[in-house]
Amino acid sequence: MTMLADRSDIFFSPGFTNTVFLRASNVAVRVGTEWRFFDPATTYAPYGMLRWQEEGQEALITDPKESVFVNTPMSPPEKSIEKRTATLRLSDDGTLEGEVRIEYSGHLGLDRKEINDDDSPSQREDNLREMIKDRMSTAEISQIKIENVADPVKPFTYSFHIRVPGYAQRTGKRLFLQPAFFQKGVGPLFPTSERKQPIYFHYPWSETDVVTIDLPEGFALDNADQPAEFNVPNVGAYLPKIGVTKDGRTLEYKRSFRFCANGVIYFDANVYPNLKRIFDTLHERDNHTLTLKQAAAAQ
Amino acid sequence: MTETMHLSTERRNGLPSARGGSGVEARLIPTLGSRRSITTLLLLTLALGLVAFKPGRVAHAGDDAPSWLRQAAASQAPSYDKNVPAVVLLDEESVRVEEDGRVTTIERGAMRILTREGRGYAAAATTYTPDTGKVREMRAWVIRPSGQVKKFGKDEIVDVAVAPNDVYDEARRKVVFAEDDVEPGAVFGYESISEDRSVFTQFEWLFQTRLPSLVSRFILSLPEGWRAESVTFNHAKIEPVVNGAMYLWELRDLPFITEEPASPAVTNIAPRVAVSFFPAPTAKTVPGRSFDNWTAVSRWLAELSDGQAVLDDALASKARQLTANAKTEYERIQAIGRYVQAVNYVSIQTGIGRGGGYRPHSAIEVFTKSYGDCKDKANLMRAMLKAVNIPAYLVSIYSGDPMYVREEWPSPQQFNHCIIAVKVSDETEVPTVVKHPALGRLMIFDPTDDNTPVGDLPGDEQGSLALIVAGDQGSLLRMPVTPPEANRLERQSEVMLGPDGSISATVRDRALGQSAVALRRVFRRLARPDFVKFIERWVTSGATGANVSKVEPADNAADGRFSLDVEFTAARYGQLMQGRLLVFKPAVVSRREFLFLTDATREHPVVLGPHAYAETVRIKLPDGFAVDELPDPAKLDTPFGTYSTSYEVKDGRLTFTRSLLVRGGTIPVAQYASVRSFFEKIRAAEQAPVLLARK
Repeated sequence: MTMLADRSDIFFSPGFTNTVFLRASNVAVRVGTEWRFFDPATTYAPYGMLRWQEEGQEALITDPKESVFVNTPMSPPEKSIEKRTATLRLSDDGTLEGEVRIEYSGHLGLDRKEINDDDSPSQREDNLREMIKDRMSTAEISQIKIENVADPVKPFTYSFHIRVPGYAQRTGKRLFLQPAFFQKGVGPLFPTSERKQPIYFHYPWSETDVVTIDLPEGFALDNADQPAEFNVPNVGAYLPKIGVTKDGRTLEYKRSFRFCANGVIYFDANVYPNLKRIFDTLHERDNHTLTLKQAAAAQ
Repeated sequence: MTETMHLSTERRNGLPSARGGSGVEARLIPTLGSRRSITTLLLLTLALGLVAFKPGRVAHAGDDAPSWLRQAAASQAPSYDKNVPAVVLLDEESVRVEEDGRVTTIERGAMRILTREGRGYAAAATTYTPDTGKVREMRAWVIRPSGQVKKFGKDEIVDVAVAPNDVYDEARRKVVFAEDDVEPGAVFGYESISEDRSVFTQFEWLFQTRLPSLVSRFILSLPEGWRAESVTFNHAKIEPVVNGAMYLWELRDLPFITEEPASPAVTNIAPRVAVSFFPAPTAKTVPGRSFDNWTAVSRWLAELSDGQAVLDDALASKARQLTANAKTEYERIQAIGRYVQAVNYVSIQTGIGRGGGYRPHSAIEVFTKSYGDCKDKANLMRAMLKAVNIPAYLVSIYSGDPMYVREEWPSPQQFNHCIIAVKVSDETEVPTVVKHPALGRLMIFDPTDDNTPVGDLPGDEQGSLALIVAGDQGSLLRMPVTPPEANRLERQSEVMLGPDGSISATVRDRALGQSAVALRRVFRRLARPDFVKFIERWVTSGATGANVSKVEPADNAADGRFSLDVEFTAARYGQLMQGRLLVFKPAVVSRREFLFLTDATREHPVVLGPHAYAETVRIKLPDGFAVDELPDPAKLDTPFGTYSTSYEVKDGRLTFTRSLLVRGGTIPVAQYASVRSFFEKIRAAEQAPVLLARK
């Protein structure tokens, strides 16, 4: 039996010698020289992971002879992935339309399941619509399929058809297109210049996106380039890749991002400017625009 | 700034609820989205935070549902859209009026929960005023899909204050919540019996809220020889079934009222009746006030309030002192208006069951204590104006929905707020002056809203019907609507664009009227550092990573203006492509990103508030670049608004202008596509980028 604090409530220290702080109970199994932790009471906790509230915590392994505090591990970004794919086509009036699939695993999946599992099917669909329309208000969503809402193992998954009028901006002979479809309309994470309180991310996470966009007839990429990647060692990395099929008709955009790579999720306020810079850069690069020009006039 | 900077308005009402004339209001609480229900649920939630619930009882053999509820539960409802959370099976209020004025009300409600989200609707409330009335009995039941019944008795019913935010409000409410005991398919029902004495001989019945309703009825039983009349709103005339002195108004199979953005309030969509009753000519007693016309309402309210607009030496002296340096009539009104706006808003409601909610406290008392509610503040201002020989009148109004008050039903119960009308001469020319047929030019002012100065009127009161309380000369009058130009925002932006896409920018906003009020409200609410953050969020929402170096607000409330100067830089506002093409959006701040009208079809009219902005952005283009492509200028001209953009390149500068004017009003459903298209085109115009190419 292991007793832990809930770090959504308090950052526990063994100096807090009162069981009122240790309300969560898990199971610790000794495997060789290591302790492994399991949470049989949390339905959606993936095997080998605890709830995020109990990861990276000092856990009290109870024993009548020799109790001991042991750190629970922090799951790496690769355990909590938001994996998104979109197969889309762009019309010459700027409308983007196609199929989308989003999978959440690890802590991301657990969060999604806990948010949705008590809702009716129609409310779950409304949750999705709201999520999408919050960043693309013109989006029309149909053929919604929500899978594994209450499945303890499989990733929580959305798949749906989407149509977004006015996604790309049309001027006389050009179309302006943001290929980062999943980041369209997302605001900057840190909009203000100063910060008084520390910054606390709940857990490390990662994102992988694959977006293909069929370009409208008669248009071709104009002076296309791609945003630069960045890698902040032990913190996070962003890797975008933009390509086009040999026939020039389909744009392929890939993006990966991971954060809290070394398990550090808590940042003092004095590093806020650096953190803001990372996320401002990410936001700016996610907003990277491609220009399409009517093919006959393309240079 | 445009709508991105608007925050909601805090509402302060010092009058009794516009509903529940007998002081008793008991209905099912399922009022998704309606103003009243949101307030109700909030109040209940707040109140219940202080109340420890007893655990629910397990149903036992004695828990059985009454036959009326069994019958309602057996009703077959049509199939509804999957988003409809619950259906009302029965909503009934039966009122018996005795010759001595006692009123006994029996309420019965039943609803079937359709979705998990609908569980929150399994609740009921009955309002009463302990001074004059009581809830004699209240019970509730849940019939689970299995047929098992759970009964809620006095141990599960909580008594709470209706308005916990008031310093004191004697009105109370008995509530029962069954959310944790229901599931889809379950039926919740309740019954209450309450007694009161009526202030008025009037009742109002709202046949539904947003939920569909199979049966909704209001029954009025009067003593022999008495009669009742009714007025119907939002529906063809609903004739009562009359049996002797018993009247019954009923509607069946009411559909779900879909929630839509910019929609009229539910009270302006759902059918409702206003019922007035009249004693027999031979009746020995008259149980309450009745009103044949608006003059009668004015007369009654004047009786309650005229005697309260009293002066003593101290108050008169204060009024004269405040106006000593005023050169004009308008300046005298401004000086007193500003003083009264600064009087603290404190709501103390007593004697509601005897009409106390309509009588202001004495002006001397309010002046001495320096606090009061809306009618107290309006009455104080009236008294102070009297001291400087400026006549004024109290104005009863409904705050929050300009379409709520209807002329067809003369009743003080239609109002929830009190403001003032000041008689002015021709020398006073402001947009809030209206002409009264008997009283002449009246300037309307709300001394409770301390963000809206003399000469302006809160947006949600503009255009509303309101009662000028002036005894025999009083009448219902349409409140002024200030033109969009009087509420406009003018912005001048100077932008220096670098060859790498960086910008340094200066934005100067000059706001008038209600645009200024929106900014002032935020400015006054936030501490300086938080206001700066607020501006930073606004700027960075258009220019990622912007570094804001100057935020200089200037609140000139006296003349209804607010100005804001902001300076900032953004390292990568424009995007340079392969060193050759530079793309950027010329609307740097408050670029319209979101559409609020996106549904393909519409069930209800679109309500638009009047507003206007005009912006000129002058952009110094980087050396070595020339304009390769400009968006087409936009020009939209519709009955409900106009919008235009223009682009001009001259001497290495791009001048971009945009201007919007929205005329307030209610747009019929038939024109929905046109309204939607109007805002879609505005969004497209403001998202359109400019492309520069290296020479």
